[in-house]
Amino acid sequence: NTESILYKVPHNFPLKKPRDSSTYARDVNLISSISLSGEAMSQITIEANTTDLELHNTTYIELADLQRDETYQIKVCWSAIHQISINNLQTITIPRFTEFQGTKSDYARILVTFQVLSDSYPSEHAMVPIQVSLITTRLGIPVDIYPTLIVMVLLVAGLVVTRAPHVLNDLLLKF
Amino acid sequence: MIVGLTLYFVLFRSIQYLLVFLTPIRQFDTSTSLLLNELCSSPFEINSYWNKYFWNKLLSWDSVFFIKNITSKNGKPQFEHEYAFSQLWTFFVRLFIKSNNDSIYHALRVGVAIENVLFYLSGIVLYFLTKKIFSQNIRQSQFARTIAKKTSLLFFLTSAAGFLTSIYSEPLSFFFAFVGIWSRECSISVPVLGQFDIPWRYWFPYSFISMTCFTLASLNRSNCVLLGIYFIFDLIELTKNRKFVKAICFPLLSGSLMFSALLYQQYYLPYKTFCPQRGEWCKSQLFSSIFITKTSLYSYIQSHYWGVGLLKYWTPNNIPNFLFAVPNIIILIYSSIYFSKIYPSYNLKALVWITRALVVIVCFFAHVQILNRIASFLPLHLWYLADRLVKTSDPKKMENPKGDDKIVKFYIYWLAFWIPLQTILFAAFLPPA
Repeated sequence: NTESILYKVPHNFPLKKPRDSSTYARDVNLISSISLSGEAMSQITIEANTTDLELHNTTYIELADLQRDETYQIKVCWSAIHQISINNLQTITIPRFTEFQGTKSDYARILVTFQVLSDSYPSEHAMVPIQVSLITTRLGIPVDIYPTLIVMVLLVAGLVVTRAPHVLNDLLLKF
Repeated sequence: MIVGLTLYFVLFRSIQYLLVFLTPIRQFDTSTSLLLNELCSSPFEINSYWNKYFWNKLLSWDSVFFIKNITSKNGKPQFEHEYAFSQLWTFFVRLFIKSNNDSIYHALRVGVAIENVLFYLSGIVLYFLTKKIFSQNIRQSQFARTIAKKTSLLFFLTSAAGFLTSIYSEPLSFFFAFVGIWSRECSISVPVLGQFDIPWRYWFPYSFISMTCFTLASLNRSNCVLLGIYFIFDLIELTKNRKFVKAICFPLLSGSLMFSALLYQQYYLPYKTFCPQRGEWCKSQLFSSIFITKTSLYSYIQSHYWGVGLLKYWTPNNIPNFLFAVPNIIILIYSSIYFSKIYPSYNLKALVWITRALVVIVCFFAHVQILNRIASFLPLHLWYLADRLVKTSDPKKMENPKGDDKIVKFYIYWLAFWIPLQTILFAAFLPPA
């Protein structure tokens, strides 16, 4: 199953410079992150606890190494063998020097956040693996779909060139 | 004939499986790797060449539920919503899986093999069913053979496309539906001059074979419950002709048995399994001491987990899904008009009712694009297409088709694009589902 959103980084967003910034962790609640350093897409797998349905069970993932004015797709995938629902999938911005979930940084952070709720009967009490992908978009299309689109375009071209619909029609007429 | 059909079946399936192989490994929905990690113990097996480039791609959409049930320890669903996926199909596939081999890839390969065998056999049964329907006298037998060949070939070119490359339960229903319709057709006397009748000697093929096949098809895929309309139609016809004893012993008995089986599956078993502790749908009991609830488990699952219900799918974001279904909506509606108004055929009357009911139900209550996947259990639109193809067998006429022939040509052209494209979409885990 998939839930996704698009996020455009504002043109004036104060992105961090890799060398001169740091995050300070006050306790063990470090926030996971996905980094797009030199990549068009990146993915992490997290485990969400469906046992605890309290709001503090919200998942936060930092999106790192983004570019200004770029649009990204944030995609959350989980296997349908776990009947869960992903709610309130959104991005939030944490100003610099602001404490958040026991962490503080000297740069403004962009986080994706969502809640995982068990939606099955009987309720599933388990750690459900969830994949979160951060994907650059080009021409409004996430780049991970491009290989499939290319195959489909080539296929359509092949069907047109070989006049496949016509051939199929003739086959059915003569068979 | 059989050889020709077999060769084309193998050719079409080979092309589809080649397309699955050529589809890029990275799927839109990346969860297959999560599924495999949970169900399969060996990363080496998951990443072996053929699994990576071929078999893993077949575990998209509903295949996930089927593979989970097939490979589970007892073959039973773990959660309530999993009851929406055929337990009959799970049971059937498990019969063919060696008990000492617990690899999910073994289960997948066996499931895919059974899927293909059932799909092929359904096409062959459809050939004989079509021949039976369209050859009411000797003069028509050549016509019937031609139309039967084209019908089976069209069936192999089903718009269900990529879904049937995997382990979906549809082919099991196709097979039972066609055998059931065939058995009924062999049993009834069509009133060319006389009255509708079912001779007593056909009690077994009608009341046992047809009834069993329709029941199994419905237990497997709930949309096949519409096949019960055959029994309602026959009941009305026999009653109209004052053949009351036959009406009781043939359609009423068969329909009642089919209804009882569905009642058992949809109401009694779920109630026994989940109620009263489940609450929700359990609370909608009609009478306090009886297991019958206002909402069946299947309806509840469809509504609660997948938002199925009257006009619930009619939202702007689903316009693309309606567009995907348009070719089949048109062809199903036209076929019902064709065989009721243009070339009215008495022995297709019940099937016309069933086809119309399916279109109405799917358009107003269900996720409309599933029509592409499920419509093939009814052969009416295939007969319409085949009939038009026989009547305009001159390819020159089809260069500039008119009226019905234009619709037929567009539908075939659409199939030529839809089948390979949908196969790739399925292998890439991309919508529509």
